[in-house]
Amino acid sequence: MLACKKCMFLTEQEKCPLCGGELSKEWQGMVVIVDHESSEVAKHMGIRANGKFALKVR
Amino acid sequence: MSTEEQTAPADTGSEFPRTIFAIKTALGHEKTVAENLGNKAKRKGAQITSIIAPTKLRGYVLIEGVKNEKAIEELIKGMQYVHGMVGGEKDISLKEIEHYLAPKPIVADITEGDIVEIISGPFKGEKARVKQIDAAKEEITVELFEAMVSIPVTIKGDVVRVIERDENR
Repeated sequence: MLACKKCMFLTEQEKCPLCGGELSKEWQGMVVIVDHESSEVAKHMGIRANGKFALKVR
Repeated sequence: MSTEEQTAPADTGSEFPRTIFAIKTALGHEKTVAENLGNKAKRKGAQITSIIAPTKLRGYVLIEGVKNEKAIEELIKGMQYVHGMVGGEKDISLKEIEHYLAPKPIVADITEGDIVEIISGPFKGEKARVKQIDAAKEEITVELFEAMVSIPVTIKGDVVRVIERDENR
């Protein structure tokens, strides 16, 4: 699994399906957003989509 | 948004408040549990809004959602690598887990001139002085003490341990 360097979305694809950003295999931690509209964690991190995100991308 | 607003339990429309709580997992399987739990919560329509698996919190995942212990116990029942819900009355506030959501850069504690010991890789055990820091790439350029000729070597910031701070800074 790779993480987007820009929005930190985790994906198996070659380009980030959310923002089209560059991907990195060096990432740490994970947050799974189930409902981004009601999630305080998603709001705090500026996430506006459901799915898996890394907590840190290098 | 103020801290008060962030940490106040949200109105969930049920008798249970929305909060953050932890479940105990097998060591090294935190991400697997987070992924599986996310899929299961979606499938079952559980009142969970996010699941967090911070690297530094080994053996636990944090769940943001409605703390209905019975419903959560039912949801995690039979799940691989899950050891159970962490009990107790006290809930975790968003402020308490903020540092997990935006981890400090690895090179934040290193400054130019520091003496470091390389803890892994081909230069393991060698001591070196930090010459340059690239915070964006989380890389540092060091000069090895024991090298015959002083050649700068660029390595990842997480493979060193600071053993002596540069007093002049």
